[in-house]
Formats: sequence, structure tokens, C-alpha cells
Amino acid sequence: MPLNNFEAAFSLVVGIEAGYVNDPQDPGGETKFGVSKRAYPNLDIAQLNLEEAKTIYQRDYWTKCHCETLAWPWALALFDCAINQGVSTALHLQALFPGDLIKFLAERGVRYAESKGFPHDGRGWMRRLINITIQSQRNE
Amino acid sequence: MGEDRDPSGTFSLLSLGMGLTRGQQQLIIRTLWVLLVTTNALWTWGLLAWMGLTAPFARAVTVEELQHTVMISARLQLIQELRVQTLYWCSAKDGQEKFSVEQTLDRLRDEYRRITGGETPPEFKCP
Repeated sequence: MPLNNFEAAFSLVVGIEAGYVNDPQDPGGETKFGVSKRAYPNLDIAQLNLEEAKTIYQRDYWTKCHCETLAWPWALALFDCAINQGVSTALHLQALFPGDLIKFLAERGVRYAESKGFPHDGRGWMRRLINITIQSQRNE
Repeated sequence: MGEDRDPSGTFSLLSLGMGLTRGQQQLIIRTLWVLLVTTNALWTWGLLAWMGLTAPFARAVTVEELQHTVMISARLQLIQELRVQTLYWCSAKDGQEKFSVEQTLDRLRDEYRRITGGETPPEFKCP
């Protein structure tokens, strides 16, 4: 059975997000499957399993950005942006560039470059963005 | 018939071995010329795109995409330069040096506003 858009996007994003990490330089603190202690202080991050992570991603990112109403490449790009740069940034950029996925992705890159964490995390962010761009073009 | 032929003139290649009269040669040349000009005009207007011959001029959307790419690239460069100059400013020892870097920062911020159509440039803090 083919994956639905959420399942496909989740597989890609979890592939990008590392497993369990506790990097003191990461402002999110303890993180597993991209779910951070800072965003979910009441969650036992180390014990988080994949199904729980999936529920969080669907409830707090996919549904909040109305990704279920979007076609595939947009749904993926918006979902990934919401996870890594925040739901409000994702929705703001979508409103800035309605229907223009490439401009949306380019603006994401600029936002990354502007953020103070860029010297430390920039390379990883850009790699992530390029990966999402390739995936969105591949499935367009 | 022999007088009509032009075996050593302009149309010699066309008539070579074909036994064409000068009138027939002229008709063929005119037809080929009209076809060439018509095809060129159709190609230029983009009317041959259906057969894979796209117009030789950049489409407006392509130009717009190119401008956007250049703008994004310029923004990224300016952001990086602002970050570096801010670090210089932070490590500057005296007022004159700081003033010099501030001038550079102002110039970069103006440039950023200009290319983005008035967006506020990012502010970086000292580490």
C-alpha cells in the first residue's frame, strides 16, 4: 500500500532528524527524533518511541500547518519548515510566496543564514534544506 | 532550353544534374527563402515551441526567476558580511576603528534594504 503524504513526509523528516542527541550547544537541549526537551519539557525524551514522535509531529506540525490540504511537495516543504523553523515562520513564508515553492525554500535558506545559530548549525541546516528541495522536486 | 541554363552562374549547384531552367531555379530559391524567413519568424515568436523549438528570448518568468536568484545570493552574501563586520566591531580596540567598521556596517545595511525593497537587515550581537 502506498504511503500517504504524512507517512511519506514523516519518514523523510525522521531520516533527517537524528536519533537521541544531547548536545550542550543545541538550544533545544535533549532531543530525540527531532523532538526537543525545550519544546516538550514534560516529556521523557530519552524514552520517546517512534510512534509517540509520529503523533507529536502530526498533531503539532502537520495539522497545524494544514498540510493535509496541500499537494505533496508543498506539504513536505511546509512540514519540514514548521519542524525546524517553527509553525509561525512556516505559515508566514507560505503566505509570502503563495504557490512558489522555490522562493519559499530560498527564503528558508535566508532565514537560516540570518539566525544566530548559523555559524554552528548552518551547514546542517543547509544540508537539510537542500535535501528537502531535492525530495520536493523529485516527487513533483 | 540550353540558353535558359546557367551551369557556371549563381544557380549552378541547383541546376547541376537536374536540368532546371533559370525560372524554375528562381522559383525554388524564392520558395526556400520564404520558408526560411517564415520559420525564423515563427521560431522567434515562440510558435514552434510545440515541436521543441522554444523561442530564443528569455521568457519574462525566467528573467524574474533569475533576478530572484541573484537577490537571494546577494542577501546571503550581505548577511555573511554583516556577521563578519560585527565581529570586527566587537574586537575593535579604539573608537576610530569602531567608527570605521560602523560605516561599513551602515553601508551593508543600506545595501541590504535596497536589494530587499526595504526589509530590515539582521542584527548580530557580540559573542
